[in-house]
Amino acid sequence: MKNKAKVVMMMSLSAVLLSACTLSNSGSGSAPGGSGDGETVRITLGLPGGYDVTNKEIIDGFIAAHPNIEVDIQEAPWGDFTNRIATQIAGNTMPDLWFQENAVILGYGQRGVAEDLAPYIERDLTTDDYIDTLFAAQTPEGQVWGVPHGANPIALAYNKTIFEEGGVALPTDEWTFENLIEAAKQLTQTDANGNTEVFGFIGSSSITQGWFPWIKQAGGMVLDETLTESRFDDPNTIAGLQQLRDGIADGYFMDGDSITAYGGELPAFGSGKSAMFFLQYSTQVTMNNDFPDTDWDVVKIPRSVDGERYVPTVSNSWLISSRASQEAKDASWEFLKYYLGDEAQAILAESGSALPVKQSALALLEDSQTKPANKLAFTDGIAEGGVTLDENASWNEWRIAVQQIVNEIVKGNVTPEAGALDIHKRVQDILDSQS
Amino acid sequence: MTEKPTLLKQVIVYTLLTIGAFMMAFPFVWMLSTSLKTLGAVSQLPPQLIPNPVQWANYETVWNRVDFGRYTFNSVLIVTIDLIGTLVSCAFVAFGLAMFNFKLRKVLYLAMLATLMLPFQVTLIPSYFIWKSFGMLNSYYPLLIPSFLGGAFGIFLMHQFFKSLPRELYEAAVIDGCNPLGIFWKIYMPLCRPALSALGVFTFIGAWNNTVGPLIYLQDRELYTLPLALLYLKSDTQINTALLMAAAVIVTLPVVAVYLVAQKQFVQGIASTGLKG
Amino acid sequence: MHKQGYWGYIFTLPFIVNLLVFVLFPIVFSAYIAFTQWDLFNAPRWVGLDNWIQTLTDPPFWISIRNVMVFSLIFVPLQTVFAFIIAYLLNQSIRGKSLFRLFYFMPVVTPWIAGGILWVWLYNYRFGLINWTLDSIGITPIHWLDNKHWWVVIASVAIANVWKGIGSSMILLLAGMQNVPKEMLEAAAIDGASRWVRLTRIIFPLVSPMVYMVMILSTIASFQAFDVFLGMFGSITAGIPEQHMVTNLIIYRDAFLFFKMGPASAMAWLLFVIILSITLFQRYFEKRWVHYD
Repeated sequence: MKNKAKVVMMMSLSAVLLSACTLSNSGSGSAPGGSGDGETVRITLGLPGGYDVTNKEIIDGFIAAHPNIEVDIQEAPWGDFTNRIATQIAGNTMPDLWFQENAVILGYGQRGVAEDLAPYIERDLTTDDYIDTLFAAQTPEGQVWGVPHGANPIALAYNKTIFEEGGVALPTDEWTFENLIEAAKQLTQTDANGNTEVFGFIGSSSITQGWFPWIKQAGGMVLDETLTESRFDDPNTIAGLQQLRDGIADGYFMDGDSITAYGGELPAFGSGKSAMFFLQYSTQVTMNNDFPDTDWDVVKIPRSVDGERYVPTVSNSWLISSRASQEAKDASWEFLKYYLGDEAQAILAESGSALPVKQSALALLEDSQTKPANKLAFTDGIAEGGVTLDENASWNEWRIAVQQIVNEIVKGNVTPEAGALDIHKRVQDILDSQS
Repeated sequence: MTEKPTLLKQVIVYTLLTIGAFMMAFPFVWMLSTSLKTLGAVSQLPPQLIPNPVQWANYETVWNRVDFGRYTFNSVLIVTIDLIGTLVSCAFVAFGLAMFNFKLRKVLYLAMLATLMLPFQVTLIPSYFIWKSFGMLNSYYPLLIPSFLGGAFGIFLMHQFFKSLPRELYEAAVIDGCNPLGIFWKIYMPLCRPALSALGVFTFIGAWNNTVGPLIYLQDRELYTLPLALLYLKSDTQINTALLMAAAVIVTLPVVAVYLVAQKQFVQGIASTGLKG
Repeated sequence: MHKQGYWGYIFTLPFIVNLLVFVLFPIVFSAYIAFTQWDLFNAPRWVGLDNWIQTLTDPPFWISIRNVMVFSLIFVPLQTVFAFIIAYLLNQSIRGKSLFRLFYFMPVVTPWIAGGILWVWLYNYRFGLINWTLDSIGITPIHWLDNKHWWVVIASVAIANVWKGIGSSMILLLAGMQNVPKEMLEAAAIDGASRWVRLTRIIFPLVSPMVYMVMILSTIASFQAFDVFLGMFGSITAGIPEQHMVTNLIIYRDAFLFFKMGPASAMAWLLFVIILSITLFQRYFEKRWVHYD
């Protein structure tokens, strides 16, 4: 009996020791390169989503321009990158530099994972050369936890053929959401059995293309300016959700069942099942690949009731690990400077996978020959009214809480009033538990 | 069987079996058919089962998009070693648990069951610490070594199988002068072909489809396995349903082949080897 | 059972090593983390029973436990009974049984990437095959995955999981049925025993260890349901309603998306205790119907 107890104690002890070692070892995941001159620095770079052409070209360009910096690339599929990076952070083996959703980066900043880039930016960048999205990862206190991998605003995409057949005037930049709703009603076509053949608009339940713009246009708010108070009890917020629900209930916005049946929102729009759609910039690539024959273009997101324009913009952001060695941090910043430079930003612009944040590269898009023709809807739109999705350190948490209930509102299982009040309470609880 | 069931009964059984079989295989057939469709046909309502026109180019496109050759080699390597390790070690351990009476037997049996119940979400990170402390990150060791130490599922399966074999078999072998190792290897191993081949199928599927392990432990793209390619394609915004299904078919077909080979084995048990209880 | 106990240790040595090296530490570690706040980056901070109290008083946790219990109550019996019937039929001398065996196994190899898309379509309220069939025989279509009643949703998911899981259980039972000596069945038939008597008196007892295993494994698997819910509802970030969440999804979300390893570990341990008690409960009844020769 005694022996057994001893063995168990020994084993638990060794286990705890092992954990202690792992947790207290705060060395950097990257060692300085061992080549003769002693000046070579090795950095590891985490790339979620695969080594696509954009990344490859830019990274190759960087390597060619910086012979003293060796770059190790670690890749993982986008959706599963989270698992891997969380484990690596816990095991202290994370890359020196990687990118993820901007909101996640803000969480990292709060926990200390990310290096504050504000001093670096102040030292090396002329911020006037960039659009405001450069500071998507800035906190109200002024730290900057990351810089954009690219900006991804939405615009109102419309199918010209459906508009022309319906005899409805094409959307303009001066549209309000009222115009959108009216046009959607006119453009909806039903067959003899009452089944809808073409919808006016796609009633997305997602944040970027659904509830966030709908709340904003009604004069409502999601969080307050300090991002610490929920505004889901605001009557305007509820009104915005109500309009989204009404469109679906009355049949001129495409409902969730139809979206699933057509294989998703983009295929539904691309195959001409809806006249309008809030299209995210990056998905133009898919539109052009998969639906080359569809005749479509974009205009800016319609104005809100108060005449303002809010262009929800998603971004992924690069961050530098706070636990990297100083040499690795400096080398990583070299990479980010290169990434934000003219050459790399131009490559990004050309790929169409995200908007560059540098003005000079944005200007290049005016000459672009690919659809949509009116790329100004994105570039001017973001300059005029680009907003983040009220991202803060607890964004992932409160956003999922909102989404769970919005899904029920959109389906009609819960009324917008009741749902919004439920959301309000939950979001406030999450925000409060953060401080 | 000696007497034949009535014709009516036979017809009923066949009809039910056929309907069931169709329902079970339908999603796979759909996957196959979607993988051969053009994109326009994918979002057609109601969906067509037989693609027209047949778009073989989908396979070419995904095949060129991903380095399938390399990943297949890696996957085959890992799965083969895993299979050998799992089959031998699980049978070995299960034999000990099923045949001998020793103090820790009950404890081990429960521990075996308990390891099946621990959610991987909370053991993933501490396991990572262990492999890190061994200096074995970014290698295949974390994916291979555990398979030689007996996995809970395999031990459970083999244990139940050994338990259902006639006990006299062992006594007879002892009388014949065999030691336990000999009995295990020469008498019991050949007998558990059905269970071993079933375990083989499960191990193959598990290792072949494993994404969590390779994702966490492998960093170099050259080391990646086949299902990771599928995950990559899934997260690629430029991939559509038809191409995704083509990739899924490529990843799935080897499993079907292995199943067909193994199937012959697990229906040849005692009954056909001629041994009696 | 044989007395040469040391042989027992020799045979089980690999597994003992496995437990000591690869299982013990993760268990001790996650148990320790359950008493701390840990964000995966900064050192864990001891918080005593906070995580446990928080979890035990958290309605979503109990909703998720309710869901896995109902899921398991639907999934385990359906899958075990169907798998047994199919295995029994496909163990007879019938035409084309290899083909049947292949077809019934296909779901196991069909990835959720494909299976999920198809099931979501089958269950689609307006365009799904199931409601279309119901409609054409005059039954009112049903909301399957978005019903107001949570149990309809859980039952729908459980049925999709039966589709996925039947093949595995069928194989295990088929393997078990190979142990039934043909001579024994033939002798019984000559003595005038009916098919039913042969099935219940000879085949079932001999296969019962495998049936027991299938039940235990599918119980454990259903309490850990994860993939099937992602297959049906997309991703966690797509906002699976609280009423339809299962425990493992919450654990995963809290640990890897919210970086709250402490509460996630406490929840995992509570789930573990629940699964363990149910398994022990099943084991208690094992003696009544499982026959080891």
